[in-house]
Amino acid sequence: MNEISGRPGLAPHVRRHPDRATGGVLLLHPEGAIELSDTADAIVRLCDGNHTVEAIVAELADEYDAPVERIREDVAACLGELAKAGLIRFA
Amino acid sequence: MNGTAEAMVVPRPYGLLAELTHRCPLHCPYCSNPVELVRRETELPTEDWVRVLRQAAAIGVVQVGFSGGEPLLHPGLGRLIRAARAEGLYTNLITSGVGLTETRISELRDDGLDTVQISLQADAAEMADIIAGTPSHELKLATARAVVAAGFPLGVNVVLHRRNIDRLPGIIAMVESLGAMRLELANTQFYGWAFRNRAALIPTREQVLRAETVAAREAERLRGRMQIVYVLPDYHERRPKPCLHGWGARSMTVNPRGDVLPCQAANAIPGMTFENVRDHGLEWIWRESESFNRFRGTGWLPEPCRSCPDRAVDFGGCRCQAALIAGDAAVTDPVCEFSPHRSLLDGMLAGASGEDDWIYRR
Repeated sequence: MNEISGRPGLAPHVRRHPDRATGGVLLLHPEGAIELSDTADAIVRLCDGNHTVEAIVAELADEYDAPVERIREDVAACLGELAKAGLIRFA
Repeated sequence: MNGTAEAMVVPRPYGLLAELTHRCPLHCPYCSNPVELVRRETELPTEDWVRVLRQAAAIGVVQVGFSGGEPLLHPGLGRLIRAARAEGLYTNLITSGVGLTETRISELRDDGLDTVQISLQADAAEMADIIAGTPSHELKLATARAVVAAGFPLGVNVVLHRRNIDRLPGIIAMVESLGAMRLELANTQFYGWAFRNRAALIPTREQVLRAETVAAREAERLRGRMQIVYVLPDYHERRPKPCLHGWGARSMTVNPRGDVLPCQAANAIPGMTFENVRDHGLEWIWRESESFNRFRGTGWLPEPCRSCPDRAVDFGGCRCQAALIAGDAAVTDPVCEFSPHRSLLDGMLAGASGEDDWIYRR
């Protein structure tokens, strides 16, 4: 059910929120807020329902000039956690 | 100020509970609002609420729950939702569902409301309407379906007590069929009006154990489809709940009159006074006021909490419960097995017989 593939997007009730108090970014959902690391936010910003997981990996590997394998691991871990919390869905 | 290093670091708040009015179409015996309700004439006007929302966002609040009473009865609700969204706040309507017509639902959606939480009282009208003290169950179900149809993520809250806790399987099946995203099964918290009715509401230990088993099993079955949150009946626990994750730590309540409370029930603590948004800004109240600093952090803790390894887990429990049961808000929550007042609570459990009838809130 939580397979990391396809085109991830934020669940309909979830909002990305620039946090005035810290300058960081939060994901707001009905029961609260979770704080995103810079890496997680870079991934979440590409969860627009258009990018596939592989496209996200490729774009971030390019942007950060980092090995695809390592980025793929980071992306899978991050999306796995967000999916488990019901904050993203895969189309 | 109590002068400890722990109390000096004032955390930022995340949540604001905006109790717009105490007026309510229901008469639930488990109502946790104060025995003495704020009257309509002294309710905070919409302009003041708009200011409160701006001030809240400025000090870090990201979530606002519009609650009550029944928040739909406040004439400024739509404007407040728009004001909250303009500040980037996540908005949740906490409602009985009574008065939430399809027209109203689409208006609220246009205002930018994010989520809706509706209360239900049982799994069937014959019991639910007895608990609510008014025929409302069928209407609430229809409203819940309309909320889902309008595309809102629906949360359902069911307060559990002696008269409905055995119906848990039926309650969960009913809420599942509504297409809710989340079900909160909240054992009655004995504050305000509910404290008066405790003898009629407290479930037996056998009921509590059965309910926990059902809730855990159903949470597993529904994983990924509907989240089940089970709020423990803390009188039956041996350790206190980490009430609000600490006093003045994450959230605040503004009551219908504009008093700012660290906890919804804090008004019941004898001898404490709370600041009002008509007199002070929210930032000063949150950071500097005596009421918000009185029990902030762990520096104020008495024994047995002070030397307890769990003091950073439960912060000594609930101040309002300490005040209600032990008569002193500054002692260990009597739920705790190490509290010298635990026997008072055991006496209440033993004295709750089910022979007692409740008094409706009217």
